Amino acid sequence: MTIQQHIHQIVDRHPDAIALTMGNESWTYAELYQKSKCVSGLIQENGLSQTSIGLFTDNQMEMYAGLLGIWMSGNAYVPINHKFPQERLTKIVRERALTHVIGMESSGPQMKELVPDLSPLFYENGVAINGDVHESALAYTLFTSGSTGVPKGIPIDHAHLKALMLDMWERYPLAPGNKVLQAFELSFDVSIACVLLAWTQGAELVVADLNGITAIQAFKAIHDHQIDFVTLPPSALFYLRKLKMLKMEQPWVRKTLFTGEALPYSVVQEWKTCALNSTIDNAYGPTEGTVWSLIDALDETIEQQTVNGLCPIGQPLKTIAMRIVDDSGNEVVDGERGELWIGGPQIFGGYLGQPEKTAEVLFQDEQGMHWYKTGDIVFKNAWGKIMYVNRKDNQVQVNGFRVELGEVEFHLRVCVGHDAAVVLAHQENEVTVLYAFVEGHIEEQEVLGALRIKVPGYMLPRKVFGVDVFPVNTSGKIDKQTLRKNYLT
Amino acid sequence: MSNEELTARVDGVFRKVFKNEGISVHRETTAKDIAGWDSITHLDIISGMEEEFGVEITGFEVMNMNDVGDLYDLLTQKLEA
Repeated sequence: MTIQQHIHQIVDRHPDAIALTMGNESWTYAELYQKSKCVSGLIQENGLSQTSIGLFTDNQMEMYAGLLGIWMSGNAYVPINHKFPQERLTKIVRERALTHVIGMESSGPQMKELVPDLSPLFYENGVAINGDVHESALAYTLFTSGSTGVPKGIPIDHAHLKALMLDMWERYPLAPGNKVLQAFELSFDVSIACVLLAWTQGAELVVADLNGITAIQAFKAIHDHQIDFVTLPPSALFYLRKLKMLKMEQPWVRKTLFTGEALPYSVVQEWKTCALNSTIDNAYGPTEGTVWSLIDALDETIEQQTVNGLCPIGQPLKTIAMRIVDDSGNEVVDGERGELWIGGPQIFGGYLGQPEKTAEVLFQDEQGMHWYKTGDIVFKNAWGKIMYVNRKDNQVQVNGFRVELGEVEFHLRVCVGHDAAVVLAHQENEVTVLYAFVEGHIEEQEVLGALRIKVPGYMLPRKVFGVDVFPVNTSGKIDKQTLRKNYLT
Repeated sequence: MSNEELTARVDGVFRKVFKNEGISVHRETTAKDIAGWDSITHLDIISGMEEEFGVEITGFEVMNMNDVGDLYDLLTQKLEA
């Protein structure tokens, strides 16, 4: 049975159960499905079949009907995040060769401004037509940070999602009456896991107002709607603590899934004082492995298992195979550090239009199984759990978003007109913050203003330092350690 | 405190946080109206208001603040108490 057939079954069984809530408005499963059929009809009337369609994500309820309607019509979605700069969206449109974008008529002017080359399809004009989808069909393409300044497209099929859900249904059984928080942009793949956890099991998806301050709006949704299944990035707790919001107990939370960033044990302890009745899991996964690849259900031994104050990422999902290897690709013994490789039916088939990049990270073994080299250094601890150590490359997580520092540096160099520019990630409390360094005198606000039109907000440095002369190490390279010591400590 | 003084002092906090002397907020202003108004700057805005007006803003109050108008009302209420 396809993911879409699972949702269809839920609609048949529980038509009057609440499927979607945003603020004070809710739709039942019957209403959601009817609206999705209209989107499907709109797409089919425009002759679009087995292709990718832009989904304008400005956080209105209709975009969730848009997502389902695109699937019903046999197509795949590409989130067009209205918070992204036009230049980035243009690259995404070009990479995926999009021709159409779906959105509200009221969003028309912004769609025209941000993606002028795409023909808009407005929800309001749709008439219901049924559709179906095959498991092999493409479900979505998400774009992550790429070191050359061009975002990397990661296509994910329905079959990949189905493999993920086989584990999810067993691990997190939900039913009508359960409420699932959705506090992630649709351009971040955790969002689709939240959507499917709810809609394939008849639970209510409660969407936080992502046009506000996300951490606050997520907490407000938990509080106002008494949500019992919560997924959050650990950094959200940093803001909630500072804003004194964790003093408000949330006893209705039964399960909390932290994801997107390394999970400090202090966050777990603090959340337990607020979500008193919640069990807590730590979920890890690159987008290439379809949302989550390893999950740890934290137990009473967790405090002993922490390394540098961080919790383990656990063990592979039931559909994920795992190897921890040395530089030669040989498996290391338990306890030794190595790169994490993940394999199985959740692994993507390659980056969009980037065969060389694909060949660097993806391979097929003798049994035909796809393996992805994550670039994450890990080890297996004495409890058999996987501990994350660091990245092999120049990649960091900022508020759950994957950022190639090289991409920020690329745009920074273009902005300042020379090559002496460096971006460093710095840990402040439990939050990763980016700082930029440029050789010579700069007008900080001008540089930030120029960067703002090239990169999304989460990739924007907190501050740009003008440095008279960059320190260099014995190899003649910019001495990042000295920069860090002189400016960030 | 007059409304004019309150709005001027609130503007002052925003200008300091965003390092932009041109910023002027009004009752309907929300996070989406000012580039760079994210989780980190929001912390700076709240602590800046607490410092500027000598008041404490609780988590519940932060949670129910939807726009600058709510902030004006909250500050007025606290200053009158």
